Amino acid sequence: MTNKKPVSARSFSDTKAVAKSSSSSGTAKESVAETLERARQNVKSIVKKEKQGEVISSEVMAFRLK
Amino acid sequence: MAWPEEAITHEHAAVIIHSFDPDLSKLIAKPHGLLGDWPPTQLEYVGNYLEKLKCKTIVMETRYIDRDYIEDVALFYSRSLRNYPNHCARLHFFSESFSVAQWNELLKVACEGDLKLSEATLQEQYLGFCVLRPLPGYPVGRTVIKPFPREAEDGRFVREMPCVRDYQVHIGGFTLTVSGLAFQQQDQGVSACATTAVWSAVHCIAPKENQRVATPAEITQEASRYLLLSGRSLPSEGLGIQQICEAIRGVGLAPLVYTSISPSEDKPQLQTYIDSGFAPVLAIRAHTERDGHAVCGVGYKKFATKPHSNSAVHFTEAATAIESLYIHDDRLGPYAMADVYPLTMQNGDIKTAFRIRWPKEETVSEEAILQAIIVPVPMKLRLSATRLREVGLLVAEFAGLKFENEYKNIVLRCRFASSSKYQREAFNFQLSFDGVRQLQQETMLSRYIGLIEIHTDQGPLFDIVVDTTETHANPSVLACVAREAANDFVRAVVKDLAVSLGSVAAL
Repeated sequence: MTNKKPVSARSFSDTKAVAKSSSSSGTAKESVAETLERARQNVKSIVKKEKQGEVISSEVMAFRLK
Repeated sequence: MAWPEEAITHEHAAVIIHSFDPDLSKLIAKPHGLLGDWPPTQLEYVGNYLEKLKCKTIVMETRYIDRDYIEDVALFYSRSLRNYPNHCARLHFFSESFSVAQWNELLKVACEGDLKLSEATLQEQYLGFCVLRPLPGYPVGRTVIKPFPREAEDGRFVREMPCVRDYQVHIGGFTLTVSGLAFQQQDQGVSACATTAVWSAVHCIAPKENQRVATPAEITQEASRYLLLSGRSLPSEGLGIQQICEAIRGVGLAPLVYTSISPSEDKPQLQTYIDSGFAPVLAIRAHTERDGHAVCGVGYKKFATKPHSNSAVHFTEAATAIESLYIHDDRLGPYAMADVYPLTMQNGDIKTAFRIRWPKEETVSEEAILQAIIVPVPMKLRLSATRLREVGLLVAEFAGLKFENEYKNIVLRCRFASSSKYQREAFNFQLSFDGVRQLQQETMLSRYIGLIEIHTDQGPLFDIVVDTTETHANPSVLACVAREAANDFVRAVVKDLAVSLGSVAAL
């Protein structure tokens, strides 16, 4: 019995593992996984800045609109 | 007798035909004893807007019971010393000139059995309606007017109005429809700006959830049920953002709050929610004011997409095409234009600023800075735009890298959609029979889905469909769907991407 995660529960950090564990058309999938990882690094700063908007301060919540 | 007999009988109602005059204040008397400006700006604005819509005729119902106004009367005005009537007047606007005789002719045609012909004649020229309330200084009640056409006259831009919906209207036995979003002027008795902005936003979404639209009085009550920022709820002295969230929860929806960062971050948020048909409430503050103001986003003015503000990435965003928003500003009117621009603050921060204008005119009404975006969404939608975009940005950059040699302009657009509507649209995606079966019959979709759409100048390449009942989009991808412009190479990449994302591929 293997301890494999179900496919739907995989996250992007697992993409390399997916590519390596897959037996069919391995080269193409490895390339997808590598590109995904490169893409993740490229957009990291944008994602981080956008997430700042989800931080709601008490000043914002108390901001009065007339 | 302590009171005249006519006070306790049903009053006579009438339908009166007027030629259109942009000065709508001629149809109502100036309030007795009112000092200062008359007519109110909102009435002028509506008249001005209708003139630009080429309105020719007004049909006036002299007695109209408006659900929102009568709730305000029950809650507040009925206990005033002044004898406020419980009814309003309602104006209907038409783009063709017609006389009383021609109106009567339509009634005759309907009486002779061709009701549909009369209705079709009126429908073709119907521009919307405006309820006139008997409140001194605050006459503009529920107003639904159709927006300007989608395509600009000179072809330079497009007006996107995803937050309008159809309203059914009954007048003189005829049933007409107008597509718009309800607007009204704040009355400062029952509703302040925040109440009316929330009310407009709820008007947009509640019918989609088969919910009754709450009245301004109910929204103010819900906002003040557990929390008051000042001493009393009525007369309304404005709401805090926390109260707005309480009001949204109170009417059966879920509030999503996003703190404004800068145009690069705020525009994609606004585009995502507006394109999803979830009208956002925008909390803004004028440069010189301490307190803020709330308006409701209805649509946006779209030009060509521009390069991404981060030059290191290999894609751009649909939101870069947005230069102005169309907002319901209760101090001004419906579909007021707000130019969006970056404003550098004294500390060097770049903030999102709005320049609010009269329609099709250069007159600037106000300049303000965006503080926060509050969006009423369905309870079942747990995924925020930010979290959907986290995967969207990754996939768009992936596509930009992967298709660098094939396509020069990879564009990302994220939005939420009803899965049933998306499935119907998918019949036009040029999918194979297996692809259609995979998407329509073998993949379980949430009621609302998150859509990450990747397209190019040639058309749509592929969509990523995300489960919105999850709190994070990663890992919650349900399907990768090839679109019309996808060639064999793109389809092969989408198939591999689906494996990596743990989803099905519909090709």
